[in-house]
Amino acid sequence: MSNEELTERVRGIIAATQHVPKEKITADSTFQELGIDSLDGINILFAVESEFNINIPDDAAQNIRSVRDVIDGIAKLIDAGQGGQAAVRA
Amino acid sequence: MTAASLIEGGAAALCASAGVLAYAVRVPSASLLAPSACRGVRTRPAIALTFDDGPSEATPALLEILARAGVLATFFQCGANVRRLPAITRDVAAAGHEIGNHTDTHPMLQFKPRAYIDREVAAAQETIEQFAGSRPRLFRPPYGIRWFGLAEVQQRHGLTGIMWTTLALDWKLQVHDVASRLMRGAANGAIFCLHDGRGLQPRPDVRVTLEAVRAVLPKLMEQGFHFEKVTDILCPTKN
Repeated sequence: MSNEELTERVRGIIAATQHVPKEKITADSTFQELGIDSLDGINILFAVESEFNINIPDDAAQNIRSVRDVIDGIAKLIDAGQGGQAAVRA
Repeated sequence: MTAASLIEGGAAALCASAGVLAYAVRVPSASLLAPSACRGVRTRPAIALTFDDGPSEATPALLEILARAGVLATFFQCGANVRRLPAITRDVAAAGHEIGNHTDTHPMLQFKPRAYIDREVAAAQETIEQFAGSRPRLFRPPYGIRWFGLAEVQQRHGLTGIMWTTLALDWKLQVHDVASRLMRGAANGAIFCLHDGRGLQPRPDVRVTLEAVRAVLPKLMEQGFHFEKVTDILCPTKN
């Protein structure tokens, strides 16, 4: 899966979870800019874990503050072997 | 395995997956049917007290115990109980406690269609917002039972599912046993599940809950624990 595909899927997840237009979300958006607070963050992580079939460690989750952090975190977990088919599905 | 994949597998697969399904429906940490958090961060000696099924006529006594100890908690309230005792819900909110959604009429969600689950959750959202002044962000299903469709309902209402690390069993055990369970369950990020009501029953007897809470609070504080609302104990991102 390319970085562009991964970014698109993450933007889609955040848009659906937060009920905001996907166009408002860029890879460089911070959670603060998007009005995403701690509880919203939990729901995004739940959705990401479900979509990519990965488990985000608690300590890593605490440091996620932007869309880029989410994308990079997913990429690392996929590179480490998590995700399987869910991670490569376009 | 996702809820969707369970459904797609058909009846045969569902039967074959009975063990998995039971796990998904009842185990607090399972997120197959609806994503839920069941503990806070483990790096701080904080515990979240949660109370389900209120408000009830006993809730003011609990508020007094918590106030004396300087403790804030999270109350998962039923919409029908809030309409019956709105002043108590106002008092809970005014005291600084957090109020979550525990459905409107405390049904078992097992085997219920998504539209039914949505009506239960939506009605409680409206009622709690009307009397507490803010819309809940947290949800706990009655009996801890999650079902297909709940994940979508939670997302639609912007709710985070919350389960627990320790179920006090305060509706059936004696004070000593409830207190023992809580002391054994004390750990960084623990979420305790107790009850200040009994479903929709008026004037429930929750003396065991009150006495157990009164007994364990000072002991846990002596051990170095402090108490936080669920939202504060979770905090996976720092804004």
